[in-house]
Amino acid sequence: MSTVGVDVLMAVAMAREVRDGDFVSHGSAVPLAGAALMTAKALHAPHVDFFYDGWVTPGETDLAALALDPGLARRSAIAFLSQAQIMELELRGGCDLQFLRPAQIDPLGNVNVSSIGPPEHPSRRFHGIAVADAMTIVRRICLYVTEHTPRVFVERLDFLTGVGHAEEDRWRERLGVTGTGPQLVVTPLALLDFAAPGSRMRLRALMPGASVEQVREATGFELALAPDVAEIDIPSREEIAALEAADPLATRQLEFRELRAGAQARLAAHAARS
Amino acid sequence: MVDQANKLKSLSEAASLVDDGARIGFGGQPALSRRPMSFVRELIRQGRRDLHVFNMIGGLEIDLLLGAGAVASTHCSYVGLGDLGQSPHFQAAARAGSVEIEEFSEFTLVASLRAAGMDLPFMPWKTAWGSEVVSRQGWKTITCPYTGVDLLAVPATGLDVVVLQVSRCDAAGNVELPATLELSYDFDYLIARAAARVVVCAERVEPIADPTRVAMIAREVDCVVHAPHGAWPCGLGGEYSPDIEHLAETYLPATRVPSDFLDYLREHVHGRDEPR
Repeated sequence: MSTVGVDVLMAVAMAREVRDGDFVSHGSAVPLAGAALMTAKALHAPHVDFFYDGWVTPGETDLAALALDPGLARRSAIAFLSQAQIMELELRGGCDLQFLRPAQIDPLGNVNVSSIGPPEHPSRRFHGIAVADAMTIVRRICLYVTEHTPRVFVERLDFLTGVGHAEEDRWRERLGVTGTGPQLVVTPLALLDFAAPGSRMRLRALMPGASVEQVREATGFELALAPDVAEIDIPSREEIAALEAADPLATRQLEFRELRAGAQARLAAHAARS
Repeated sequence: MVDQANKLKSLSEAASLVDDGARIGFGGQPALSRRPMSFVRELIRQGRRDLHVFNMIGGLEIDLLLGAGAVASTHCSYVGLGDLGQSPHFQAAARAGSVEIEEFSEFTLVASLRAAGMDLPFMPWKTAWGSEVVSRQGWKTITCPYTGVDLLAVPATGLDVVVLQVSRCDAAGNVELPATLELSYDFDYLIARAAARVVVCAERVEPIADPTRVAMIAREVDCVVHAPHGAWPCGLGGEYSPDIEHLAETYLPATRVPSDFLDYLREHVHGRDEPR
């Protein structure tokens, strides 16, 4: 087994999906995605632009510092756009990449961020759709989940919030949308793409230490295999150093159930000191 | 003729403009900021029922109205309490199926309100296609007469009344921009412009010196209420922070047991000493 933590593996794998020059629509309260973005900016994507609560590309990239001091983004940003203006920019095709963490994903990359169980009487519901329907217009979507189990990867969603590769994407042309849909799913066990026949999900690469059998058992539907499934390149020293610099308090761990309590305690202690 | 120079009303007069069963919208962002909580408490004191509530980022105003049994349906892209987590009464209502929940995204809600604000029946739109957000509401698609592409037709959402909490407006109803702009500051004006009536609750009712800082003009506003500290226990950007102590130690614990919440309503809503 790798000694690199799952949060580091996932953050680095996600950072590798950011391309230099991308305009990234970055939501709030997704510190793992934020850590990936800042890591990419420090390494291979120095010209990436992004929104942080409306602030355009703050110079400050320490996520904990931005979260703890509301004025910091304003003091270090280039510009400010309201959410309505950001939406219009996205509708015009101005956003290249968005990270999105659904509760359920089906074989075509359709996602559920709404509720679990029958929609009329859900056993669990979330706070709302927010901007998950931007999957149609943001150019590339990178899905990620911090739990790879059959209850996340399901044959049928409990609620279809956002459309992935239905109809092998023919609908995208009919609607004239700029989005190409989910390109990759990053999980604690694997990288999955949609290159199997019918735009179905496929195992592309394994996280260090994971096996094909383990991934297939953890997925609630038949998973195709890429011809050359191998482990991802382990995070380099440079990648790990950039991630530590971008997210020194490891706020990314807030997105992992088993790491959340430790991350919360660390943040609280830091807030009390400063 | 409406007196354009003076639209000041008391809190209780303003709240009586809202009928049972009204479609009522709010603004504010984040979830614990810029909510017209005094106004919401007055609605509860007056026993308003069966409200259809609209907001993009629904927060404490919706949780309190739900907890008081005043809501028939919600129409939001988010309902929660921000850093304090989920909205307990929204979660309970969803599980019980006791109120109707219409799922909007931020995109589809903005589309719908924009259409209403321009008196159009629908807005051609590009997000949400193919989802249950669309099919459950029976939204239809149209073909563009010029390009032939398919577009979602998001129906207009017209509201009976929208209530805002702001820092400053004048007695005529000219509303000043907030001192510091937050991500969704202009959603307040978008939702207000989709409503037949607009009520503005202001921390201060006084003239606005700089006309370039007027966000909504008097003719867009029907009623002004002087509501100092009116967002409490939420905060108001540039004015005061959310009362986290009250929310975490009094409000949230009271939501766990129905009889405790009745006590909360008795003490902090019906019993609250605020100018009416």
